[in-house]
Amino acid sequence: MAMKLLVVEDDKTTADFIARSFSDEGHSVDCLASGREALAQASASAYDVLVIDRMLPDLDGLSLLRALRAAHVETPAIFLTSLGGVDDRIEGLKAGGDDYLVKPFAFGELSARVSALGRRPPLREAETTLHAGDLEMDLIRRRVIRAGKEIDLLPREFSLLEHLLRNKGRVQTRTMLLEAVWDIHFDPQTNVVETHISRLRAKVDKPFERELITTVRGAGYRIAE
Amino acid sequence: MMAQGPTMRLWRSTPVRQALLLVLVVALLTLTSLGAAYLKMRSDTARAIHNDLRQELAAFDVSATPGALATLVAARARVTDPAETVYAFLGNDGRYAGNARAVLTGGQVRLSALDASRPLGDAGYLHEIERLSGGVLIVAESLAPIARLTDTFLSLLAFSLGPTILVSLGLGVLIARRSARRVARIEATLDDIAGGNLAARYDTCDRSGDDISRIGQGINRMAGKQQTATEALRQVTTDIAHDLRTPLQRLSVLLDDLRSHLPADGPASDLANSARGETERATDVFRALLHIAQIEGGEPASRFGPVDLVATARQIAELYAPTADERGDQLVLDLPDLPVMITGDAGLLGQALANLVENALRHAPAGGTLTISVTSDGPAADLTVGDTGPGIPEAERANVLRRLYRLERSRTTSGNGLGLALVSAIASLHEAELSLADNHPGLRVTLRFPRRA
Repeated sequence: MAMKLLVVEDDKTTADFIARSFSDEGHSVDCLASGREALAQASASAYDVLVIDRMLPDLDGLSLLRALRAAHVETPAIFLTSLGGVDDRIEGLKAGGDDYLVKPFAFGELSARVSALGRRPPLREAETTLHAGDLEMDLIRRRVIRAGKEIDLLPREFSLLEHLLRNKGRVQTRTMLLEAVWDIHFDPQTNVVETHISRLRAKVDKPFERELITTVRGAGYRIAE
Repeated sequence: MMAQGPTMRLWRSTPVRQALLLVLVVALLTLTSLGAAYLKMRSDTARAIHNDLRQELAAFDVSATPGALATLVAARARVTDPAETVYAFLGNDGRYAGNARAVLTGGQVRLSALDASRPLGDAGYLHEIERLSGGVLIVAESLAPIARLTDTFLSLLAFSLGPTILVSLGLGVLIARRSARRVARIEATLDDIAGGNLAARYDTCDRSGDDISRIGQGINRMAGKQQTATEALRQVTTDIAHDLRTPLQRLSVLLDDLRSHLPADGPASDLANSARGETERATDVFRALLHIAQIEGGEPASRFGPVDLVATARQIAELYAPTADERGDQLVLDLPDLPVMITGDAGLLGQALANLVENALRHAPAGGTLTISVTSDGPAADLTVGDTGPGIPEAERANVLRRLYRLERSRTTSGNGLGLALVSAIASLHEAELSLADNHPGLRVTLRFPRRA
């Protein structure tokens, strides 16, 4: 699904690359280098996601988003930060941000996070089962059945599969999974997520013909629609 | 600072202690001078009584017969109150005369009243015995004057010392209360600054100019300088961060771009991939250094909250369990059933533990045992990670906590050399003691946290 994005970034090389990469993925992108212009632009037209650099020459990213939120512009926003501070994430969330990404980042990470923000499915309170192909997850009895066979999962394996199912069709990066499933906001130096995924695959995919959990090279994991 | 009652606090304040010392000195001086005067007057009085007794005895005729002496004594006894002076004569022929009963046993005299109408004094007696040709003559005089003297001195002591003690103590407590409030404000300011709020100041309206206010102003000057230095450092850090990250970001963007224009397989693509990898490594080291600098700046301490070490241990153990399993390592959890609460930052503590676990996974050979334990004993809580790897020689243990330091044998293993430095910074932030010890065999790293009520 194509989205309309506003990128507010004063570094031209980075901004150009982001715009080109999103365009290649089929989204339409507006680029601005000034916080003040962005404030006017984001208030005037409807975007699916705002990508905002925290350090801008005139109006900084945090103030820009605070001003937008004060004016009831609720467009999902992700901060790009070059500060890398311990408090960056908390400050960003306080200012009304939905996510943040530390520079330098790989485009795959930004793309996955922007997709997650832009296509948030409407909350269905009564949802008690999740499906993917011949797999069914019963959220109440906490059971997973594939092709009529019950699969025995550890609690964390269940949460991991649940998160992938809830974001069916969208790439989930390693860091996104760490944040959502383990509530961990630092970058482990070892391949912990890969190991958890391979454990999950051994139970969910290996005994069956079709592979549900796919690896998206250089980005992360996805369960196909 | 440990919590303590207001009484304890008052007791430990300098003015109260000084007042008590003053009271002690004054009391000792008064006691010494009054005591000396008392002893002098007491011995004078005793000597006067003795002289009286000797004169009394001298009045009796030494050569008189027992009958005459008994008559003389009886006449004197009749008109004398035995509560003041006792006369007694024990004749050799068994005659007895006197105003009280006196029994002589081996040079000691025991006196008792003859009848209830003429009681003896209760202050005791001084006596003189005279052996005459006709019998033994005993004259005893009451010690009442000495008892009265003692009473006088005791009341003198009470009237002079009592008010001194009360007034000095009262003044001491009053002064202590006043200065305690200011000292408490200084303490609160220092705690605030130590807690990461460098903008905290001792109130500037205290213009009394005494020692306490001078200390307060000194603290303000010190905090001001530290704040300026920290802000300058933060500004420099932010500038460097921004100035370095932007080219790094461009570099990775350009490399990604380059990669997309190269055939997927081939030497050119491999080179681009390696370059991209190196960019990531540079970023990684840079990010970790900035992170350590910020933690050392103490700012995260301002948003500390309660953290359960047991929950943190479970979270991290659960995260690394499959990785340890894959290596054939045994991951052992030694945790109490109840939470062990400390004050801190849950995210940073999780990261510190994760770094320790990763260190163990990286440096210990596969197939070993990795133990995570949490113990609490009263004022401290320990978080320990032990492995069965090669350990760290004692001489190297302090070095490995330094940034970018790596043991010779670790040069070839992965890791940026900042893991333990970050653990060390997180430990200091939490006022925890970080110790590296021999695990017989292997390395045992312990973080000992102070527990607050």
